[in-house]
Amino acid sequence: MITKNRCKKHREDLIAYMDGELSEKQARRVELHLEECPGCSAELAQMKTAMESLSLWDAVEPSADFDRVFQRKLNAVRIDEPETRKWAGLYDLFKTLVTPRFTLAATAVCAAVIVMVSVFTAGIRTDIPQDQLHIATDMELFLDLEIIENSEALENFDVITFLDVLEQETNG
Amino acid sequence: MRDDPHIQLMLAFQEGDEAAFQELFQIFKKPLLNFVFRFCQDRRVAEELTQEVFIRVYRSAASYRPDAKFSTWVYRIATNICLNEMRSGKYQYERSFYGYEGDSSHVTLESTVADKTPNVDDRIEDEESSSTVRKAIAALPDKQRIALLLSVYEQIPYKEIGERLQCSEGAVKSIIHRAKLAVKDILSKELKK
Ligand SMILES: [Zn+2]
Repeated sequence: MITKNRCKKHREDLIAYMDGELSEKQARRVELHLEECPGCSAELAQMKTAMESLSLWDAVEPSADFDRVFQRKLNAVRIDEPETRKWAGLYDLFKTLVTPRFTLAATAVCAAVIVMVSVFTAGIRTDIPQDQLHIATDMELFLDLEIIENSEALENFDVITFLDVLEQETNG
Repeated sequence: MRDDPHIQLMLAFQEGDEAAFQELFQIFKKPLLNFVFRFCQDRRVAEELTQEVFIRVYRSAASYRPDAKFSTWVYRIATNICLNEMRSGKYQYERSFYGYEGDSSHVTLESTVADKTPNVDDRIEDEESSSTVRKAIAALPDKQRIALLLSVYEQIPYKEIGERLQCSEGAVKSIIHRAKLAVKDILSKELKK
């Protein structure tokens, strides 16, 4: 007569037996028990049926718009995800930029900019009278206007008197 | 480890090769979708979660280190996402056993089975068993479910499942053992009905 305890021990091994995980010796012991125990044999049969029915669950295919939806999500990540790839890109850029050749080139560019800025500033200073002349020349337009021509009061203004002097200078 | 072609692709992506990432996406989208789908049994949620896995892969590029097989790493991400979803329910996942809307598995089953066996009764029987299997797996605790799915459907060895679930090979063995017993019990009861 088979005791319940013996069955309990063998039942623990049934799955390992079914999956072929037992040593030859252990497997043989289980088989000997199965030959004389209908309860454990039935248990093994049920287990095999259950595991076989797991295979009935067929694999599914991704839906038709799976890729499209994913690429859309990925684009959103690319836009608001600076901390990983974008920062890695910036770091790479930084690494390529900070080379001796780049430093030399940058210094040269800075020097050129400083020179150009000082020339330009100096140019503005020497050009002051010409600048005024420019404004004064435009004043001619106003003189052509009837209102200004008729306005004696305006002619008395220093600026406009000065305008004649300037005009003579440019023409002369 | 370095001769794993998927690791090579991931490293190429890390160097900025976007096409390598797209290749990984094409290779792993279906197996990952099926793993996630069998876990959560909701087609819409499964697709969302699978896409999230790949977004996670994309974002991890800078910090990626090839210290495990690529598949181990990516399934670990998938497992974490599944378990988190169970806790947070971000996608309003509900464990439902009926009404698989948008689930094309029936279409697949029908078309493939119809070609081989013209017997309508067989097909219905298969679909019923398939639905029973789903119920049985859905009834398992999360960890047992993941371990069983990885073992049965992905044929992943215990050692690797242990790496994914962060537990020992022995622990995986006993988790799967319990899962199989539970599935057998549920299926035996269902089939007696
Ligand atoms: Zn027995």
